[in-house]
Amino acid sequence: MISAVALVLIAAGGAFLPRLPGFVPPRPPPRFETARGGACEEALFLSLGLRRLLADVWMVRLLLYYGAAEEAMTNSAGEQAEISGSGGYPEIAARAAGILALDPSFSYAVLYASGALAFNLGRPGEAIELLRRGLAADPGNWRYRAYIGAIGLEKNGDRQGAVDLLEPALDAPDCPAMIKSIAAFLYIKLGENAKAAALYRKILEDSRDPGYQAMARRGLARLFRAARSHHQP
Amino acid sequence: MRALYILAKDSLEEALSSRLILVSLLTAAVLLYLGEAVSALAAEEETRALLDLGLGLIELVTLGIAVFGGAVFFLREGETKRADLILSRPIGRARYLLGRFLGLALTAGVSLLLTSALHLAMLLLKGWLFTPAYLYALVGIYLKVLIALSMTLGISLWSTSALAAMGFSALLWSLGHFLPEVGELLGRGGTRLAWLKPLLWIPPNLSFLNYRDVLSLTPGFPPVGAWFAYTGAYAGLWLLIAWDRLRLKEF
Repeated sequence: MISAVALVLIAAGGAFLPRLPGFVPPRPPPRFETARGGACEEALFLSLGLRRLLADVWMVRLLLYYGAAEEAMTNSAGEQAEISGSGGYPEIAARAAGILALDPSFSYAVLYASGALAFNLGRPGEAIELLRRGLAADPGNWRYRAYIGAIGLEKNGDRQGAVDLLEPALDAPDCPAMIKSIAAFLYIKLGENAKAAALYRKILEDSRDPGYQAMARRGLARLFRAARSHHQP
Repeated sequence: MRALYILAKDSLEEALSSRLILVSLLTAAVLLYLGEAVSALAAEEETRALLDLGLGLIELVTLGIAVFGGAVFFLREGETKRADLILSRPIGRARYLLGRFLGLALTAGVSLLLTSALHLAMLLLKGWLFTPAYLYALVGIYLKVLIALSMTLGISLWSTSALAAMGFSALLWSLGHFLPEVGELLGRGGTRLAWLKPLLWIPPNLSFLNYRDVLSLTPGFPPVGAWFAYTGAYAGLWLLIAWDRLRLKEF
């Protein structure tokens, strides 16, 4: 009898407590259509309350999906190929949107994917759409707005305007090394080699990604060679 | 009060001297070490991955200790006749239950402290900047584990199998995290599945306490007072269910 009453009280609490102010679930359920993992994996992580960790796992998959290929492309043909880019990787935007649905504060995933789409793969429309989703999830994130502006300007050939908008975001802790290397490339195109060298040094100091560290070392060596040949009579 | 203290201390000492907690802590240490290697795959988000993976592992290990301890405790007390020995003294069954609950809760707390100290050291070595949110996440983890422990004690006293008690607690634990998603799925089913909705009122609302999953989403202080009130009420009701069975139980 006592157990039955206790169970009824538990159920009554379960029914009414969520309606009290301050007792709201931390976030709405994810949009199932944006999921990009196996259903069993997703159910396992969510049922253990490991939503953030699942977002991390998907981020690692995104890095492996795009990062490995990007590194191979860069190693074989240099940064020029990386910047001009070529098609493929149709799932980048969807994968990043899935990560965003799991953790709306995970700005790194959005910045990384939108940078790859806009500057490497020549798909600025998808990048801007993804950034808009990021803004809807985290309206206070000014970096999304800066990226949208920079992508728009770069698309119209205004490189100076694009780097001006990107510049404040380069010092942010969640700025991917990819964006820094893109900004360094734009600086080189604009003839601002000192700024490009500073960015490559920053990548060497901050990034834990060996691919981008190698790229930064090559970029610095190229700038050094260019400076030496410029000063030689 | 003194009886409660002695019972809790006895449970803690027994748990600490058993191999279970040692093996669990060693497992946690090995997994955390492996987690460091796995988190390196996240490249620039390495510390975030290590933070999330570590907190998840800490919770699972602490939960394992609490649920296993809760499921086998009274069965073992009955088998070894310790329950008879204790209850032959002027100790009420409610105090006996509460003392044992507190002992198991302390055991889980010690496990949580040791594993989180190791995790924190690893994070700081990686250059992670400490934030009080980490401590709130640990408080949330501990309160969730206390809820699981009270549920397991209640279920274990009503069931005859420790495995069934652990399984049922695990089911409620999973549902507790899955309530928003299950609610949405039921909503999509329309009136056809509406009758299932009241079943979702029984599992604990663990999303409410799952602060480690919303670390960067919730600025300011989490509602710690409401956390404690909810945990006290929910765990208290499960302990009432456990006591209802214990008061009639023949060991």
